[in-house]
Amino acid sequence: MDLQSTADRSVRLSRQREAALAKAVELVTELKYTEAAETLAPLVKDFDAVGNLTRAAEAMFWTAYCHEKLDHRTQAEDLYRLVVRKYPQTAASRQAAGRLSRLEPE
Amino acid sequence: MRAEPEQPDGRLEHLLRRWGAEEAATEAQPGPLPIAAARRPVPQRVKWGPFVLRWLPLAASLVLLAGAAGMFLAAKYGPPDRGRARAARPSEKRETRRLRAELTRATGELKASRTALAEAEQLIAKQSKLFKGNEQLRADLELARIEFRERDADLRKEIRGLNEHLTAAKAQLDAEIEKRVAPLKKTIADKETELEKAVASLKQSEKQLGDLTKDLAAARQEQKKLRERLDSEAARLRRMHETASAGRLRAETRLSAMQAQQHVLRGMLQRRYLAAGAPGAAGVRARQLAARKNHLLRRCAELRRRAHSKSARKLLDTLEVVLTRLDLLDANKSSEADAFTASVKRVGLIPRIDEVLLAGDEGPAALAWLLETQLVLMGM
Amino acid sequence: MSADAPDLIARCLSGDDAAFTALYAEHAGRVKAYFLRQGFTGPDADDLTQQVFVRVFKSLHTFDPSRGTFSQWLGAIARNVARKHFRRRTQPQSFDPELAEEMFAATENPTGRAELREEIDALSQCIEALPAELARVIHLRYVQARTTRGIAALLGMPEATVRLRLKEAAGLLQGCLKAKGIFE
Repeated sequence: MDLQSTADRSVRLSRQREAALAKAVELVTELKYTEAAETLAPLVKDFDAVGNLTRAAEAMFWTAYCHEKLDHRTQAEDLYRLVVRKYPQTAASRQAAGRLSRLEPE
Repeated sequence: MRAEPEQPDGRLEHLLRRWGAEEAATEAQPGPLPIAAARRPVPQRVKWGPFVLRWLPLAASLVLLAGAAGMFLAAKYGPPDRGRARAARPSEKRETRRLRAELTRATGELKASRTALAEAEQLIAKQSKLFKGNEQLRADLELARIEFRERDADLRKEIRGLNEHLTAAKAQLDAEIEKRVAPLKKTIADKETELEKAVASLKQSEKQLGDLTKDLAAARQEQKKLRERLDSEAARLRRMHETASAGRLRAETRLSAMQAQQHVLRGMLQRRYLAAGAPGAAGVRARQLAARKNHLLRRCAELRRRAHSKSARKLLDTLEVVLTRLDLLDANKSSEADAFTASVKRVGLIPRIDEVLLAGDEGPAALAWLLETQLVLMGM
Repeated sequence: MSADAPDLIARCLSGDDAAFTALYAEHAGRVKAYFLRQGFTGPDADDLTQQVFVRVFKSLHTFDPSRGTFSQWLGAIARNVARKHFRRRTQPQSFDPELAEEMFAATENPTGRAELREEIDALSQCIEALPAELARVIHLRYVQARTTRGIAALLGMPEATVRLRLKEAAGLLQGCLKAKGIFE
């Protein structure tokens, strides 16, 4: 495969990932947490693989958020912590820290 | 097919047949001679008339002849009588002539008698023949009567047999007809019963129909009255509607004015809110900063716990996601902002917030938060 | 006295009662046997025999000796009467009509008649000497003129057994007649 084709393919995949994330976030907005979590599951790894840490963090954050809303508290906390630790420079990390502080007992 | 026995020698077979015929004739023992009386010839009654007629002329002739002969012989050969001889000679001649004449006459009579006798015999023969013929006819007639009676008896017997056969056939036919008709009769009876039920049902239906007709007439009357009332009501309502329409129009006009005024006021309020929360910022960035500064997300979690209605809780959940998304937005990327704006509109958040605000069921803190959130999201 | 003697018939025609009685006595048995062999019952055979002789007496004057024997003439009348009343027969299939006609067969030759008489007498003796069951089937076949089917039905045995018995009887009778010098 030549470089142009590789580039085209890369762009196409990137758009697919973005669209998948957007769809998952729409599902969260519609309060369809379980469906959103299933859609989000492979996206963290996909974004990590291409080095898009911001999107990876968002995907992981929203996954944790869905688990929080589904009362999977332990899972939610673990994921929030992972976001904070793995993606410290992102807005998702900040949000995760905020939610984690509200989840943990005072 | 008649089975033939094993054939013995032909001669033996012949002998056996002859022997068998003789034995059969001997063993048969027939009944008495039939109609012996009819065959027995009727004994002939002696008829004196023909007998006399037959023999009288001959007897008379013989008597006359004998008398004449005697007189002749007496005259010829009788004792002489001298005295009277001479005197008697002429009388003797006369007597002789007379006797000859008598003889001739008697002979003639004899001939006539013989002729009459022959004729009488012929007549008798004819009568006998006729008599035999009559007897034969009588016998034939008797035989014919017997045969007729026999034939009549046979025919009557045959007729009786035929009648019996006919009666039996008729009985059989009647039985067959009855057998075939019985289920049909039952079917007819069942159908008649069904028909009676149907007629009764029909009568009942007719009665019901009559009642319904009466009810219908009454209902029509009622309907007519109702229609009149309706018409008058409609007229009244129309008048009210017209009044209301006019009022509504005025109200709509006022509402539009108020909405416009509200819109202006909201716009002013939003500008002040965003300016206070994010001084110097604009667009999405101002909204993000205002939301962060006023801790809208943190307050949301607290208010959700205290929400009164399910719809309010659901709205708060949705607004939490939206505010989180707003916070995560890269304000520098217009595509993200456009996608966020479209999502907010799609979900219909601003009208939903208005509903809850207008309902006024939630506490003042919640209402204030909702208003602030609306100010942040409005106009995107 | 043979009925074929013209004087007997002439005497009948002249109204001789005794001649009628003699004629009847000589022939009534064969006439009745004829009807029995045709399958009529005893009373019916009597009745039909009477009818035959009524006709005989009525039409005796029409008998022409030059055209056949009296037996043949009598047989014709009997046949006509039988035909008229065939419906009255009870079991016609049990009887052999060919043997019925035997009742009116006659041996015309006086010499032959004498030889036949001797042979028939010898046969009668041989039949008397047969075992009872064989004599019975011979009687049923040749005296009552029944068919083998009729005999089988009467005795309640298979038709094949009847045929077997007839064959066995015939064998014994042949031997007996040979012994008597009737057969060679």
